Amino acid sequence: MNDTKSKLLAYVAFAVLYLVVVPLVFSGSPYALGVFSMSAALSVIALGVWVTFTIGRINLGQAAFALIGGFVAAICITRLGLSFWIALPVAGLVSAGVGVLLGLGILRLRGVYFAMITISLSEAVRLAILNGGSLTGGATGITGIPVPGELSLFGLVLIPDFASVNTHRAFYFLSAFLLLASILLVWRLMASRLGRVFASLQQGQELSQSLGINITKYRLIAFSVSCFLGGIGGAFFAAMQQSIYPGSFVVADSISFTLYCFLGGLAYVAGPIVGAFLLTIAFQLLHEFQQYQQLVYALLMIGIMMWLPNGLLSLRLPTFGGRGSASREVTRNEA
Amino acid sequence: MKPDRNSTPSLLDVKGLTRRFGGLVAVNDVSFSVKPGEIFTVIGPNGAGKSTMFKLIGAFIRPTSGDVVFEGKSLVGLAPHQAAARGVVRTFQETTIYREMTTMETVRTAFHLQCRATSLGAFFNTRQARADEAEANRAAEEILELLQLQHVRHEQAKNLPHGYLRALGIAMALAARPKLLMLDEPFAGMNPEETDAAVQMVRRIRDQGITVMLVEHDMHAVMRISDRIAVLNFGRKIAEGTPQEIQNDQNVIDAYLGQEDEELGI
Amino acid sequence: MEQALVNGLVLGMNYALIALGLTMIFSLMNVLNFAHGQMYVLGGFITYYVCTSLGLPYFVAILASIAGLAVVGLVFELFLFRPVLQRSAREESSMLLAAGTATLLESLILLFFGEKQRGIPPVVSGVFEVGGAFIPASRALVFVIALASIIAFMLFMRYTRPGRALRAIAQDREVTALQGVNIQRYSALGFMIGAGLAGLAGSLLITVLSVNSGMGTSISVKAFIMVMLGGAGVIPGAIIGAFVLGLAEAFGYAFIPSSMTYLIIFVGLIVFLIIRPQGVMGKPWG
Repeated sequence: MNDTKSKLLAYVAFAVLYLVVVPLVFSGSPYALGVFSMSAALSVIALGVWVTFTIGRINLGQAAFALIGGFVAAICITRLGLSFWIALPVAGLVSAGVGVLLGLGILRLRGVYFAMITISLSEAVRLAILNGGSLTGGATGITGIPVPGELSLFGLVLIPDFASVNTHRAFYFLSAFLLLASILLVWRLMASRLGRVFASLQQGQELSQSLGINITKYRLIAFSVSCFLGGIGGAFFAAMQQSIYPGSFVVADSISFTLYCFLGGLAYVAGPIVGAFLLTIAFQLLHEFQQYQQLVYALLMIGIMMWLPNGLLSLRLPTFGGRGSASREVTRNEA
Repeated sequence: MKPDRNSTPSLLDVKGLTRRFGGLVAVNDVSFSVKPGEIFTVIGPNGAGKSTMFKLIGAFIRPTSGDVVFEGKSLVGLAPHQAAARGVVRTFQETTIYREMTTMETVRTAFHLQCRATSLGAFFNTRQARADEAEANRAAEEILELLQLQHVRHEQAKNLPHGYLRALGIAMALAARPKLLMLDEPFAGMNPEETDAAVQMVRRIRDQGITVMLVEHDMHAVMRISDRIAVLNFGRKIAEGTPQEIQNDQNVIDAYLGQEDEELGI
Repeated sequence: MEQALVNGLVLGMNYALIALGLTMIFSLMNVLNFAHGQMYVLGGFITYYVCTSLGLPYFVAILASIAGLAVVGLVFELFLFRPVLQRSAREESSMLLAAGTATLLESLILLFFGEKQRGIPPVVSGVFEVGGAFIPASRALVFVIALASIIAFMLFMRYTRPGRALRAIAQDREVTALQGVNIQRYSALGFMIGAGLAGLAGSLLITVLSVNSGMGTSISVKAFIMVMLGGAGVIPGAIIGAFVLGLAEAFGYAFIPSSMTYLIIFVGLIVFLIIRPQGVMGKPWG
């Protein structure tokens, strides 16, 4: 288990850099903090897509679950007057619940069929919200969402009202917390028996059934975790932007989440995170090329598939190796 | 458990099993019983319905009519993983493997049914989950030793030579702790020495108290190893009995042995 | 009512061109061509450009669209899909590549043709009246050209050597390769035909519905719906899916708000696929 230990060490180093160094260096720049927070939220959402990859499904429906999460949170806060700290887990759970309901049907589909149905789902949820009347606000969405308020337990203030502190930094720490918690969640999932079962579903469903594995159940577990992460990411997005629209997450975003996973490397838990941070930050740096953003995205996607099919992390950083196939394949070929 | 005609309770009772695919009757009113500790073989020419029979018993497909009773309870209507949990485990032909898992990972995955921790427990790595993992490791080593797979334990399945894949398939099935182990053509494509070794292996498995059911083409190996044999032809059972009885059965000779040269390519 | 029926049939006929191309590429190479909608849009823009900027006749524009898209299809197949598919059979690889080509095509269309909505005026004027429904002559023309193209396509697939080879590859790639058929050349041909059909559809429908650079994805999604409904890789399935969608859309637009129409279509699709995952005509699998 030396591998696990060094992996843990790398995560701790990463956490220190991320939680202490970055907020100190950029404390005066709300813009930079915003970019980092957004990257973290997108990472959380993309991690969900990565989890569905581990059971052998290409999930192009994550935009739908991010939208659901965002709108559930927005509705809880603005319509029901709930605290953000309640709305956030509710958003994740509602997303996961919708995922379980839909998953019961669509998880039987494989390969391109699953990709096609989930891409349709991205579109369907957007349309459903567009037609949601006064509940979702239709095309104009929900705006003016207040920033998260104080969270206290028995009079003890755990988290101060975001409006009373440096709001940008508060959102930064919230995004960082969500990202680290998500990594922990996915890492535990993959390190446990469940990770092995997921991999077995990817590589041979019938065989897994014959060994007594309830494939429906484990597929649903993986998919609901994925949807939960999508919902949490979406809810954070709505809180940070203080608004959410039907167009906040669309099919193109679903494809981007997949791109993050590929860019970082499908074989690594850190893959989607590396991908999300790199692309989000790169585009902020290349501000003046904004109209070419799409072109750059396209060339990146094609370039990765042509020359770097196992993602950036396959180049080095062996300590970040997670479950999966591609990494081992590469090592073997080089050996 | 109800006693059968020989007053030994049977482990598996197949009763009037029929399965249609559209107009085709793949398995037609087949009945037989397998007793505990037996090596029972189902043979028949290609297309006789052997693999359909396997799928029916393993609950991968449902019968059109008839029943499969295991330890006195019907398996019909169960999902395959539920049948496996009852103790009915099958192997597949060697192309059906977890290609990208190592031998060790494969066997540990197959240990799934023995894990007592819940999914949530596994997630939180509870004491029970850790005990499961330790037990899985220990049992996996034992099984690898039995099947002589220790030296390839860190090899990915897709890189293993064919001979090992079949052993890996059996290792997986054993890890699921079957009461009835169903082997799908375990001797196919083997030379005589390999077949000898495989026959010994099947005997060793049976000696551990596991009832073995084979579906086979290779008549010679089957005659040596089986306690009893059922012969299928065009979905119907045309004979059942000891190897000697089968060898002398005119129906079998007509239907099957007569075309042996062609079938087996000898 | 009759009007919706007529509109639905015109739409369905053109959708069939889109779905046939998509299903063809899928069955030949097991590639889901995400760029299909963008290919349709490009076909529309080429037609617009040839008719409006060059002032050439509409029929020249149609041919230019087909040829232009066939070239795009060839380039995609030769330089992108072929090397990637040779290295990795994993579905994920070809799918992200396909998504990449879709984004690439969309951004190129945006750079070259701008973001304005473009359409061309009806090529012929006049209106027929059939059983209470009014059919503008331009729609009738589009319908007839699409129908003729589909018939030509079916005849090509059935009675010509390349057509039979394409069907054989779709049925069983390995066996066909063993028979000495040059799989690579036919994959390229199939990609060209599939892309060309999308271009033709774009070229025809621009006289009815204008195009803009951002609508490719929604067209692709429509194409996916048709293929899922009918069964992926099955030619009659694609046509059935296309008419079901065309009619559903036309009737929906006639009676309920447009975004609601698609919501209902999606919900219907998901329910349908839960009951019959392989589509109307697809082979069961799994």
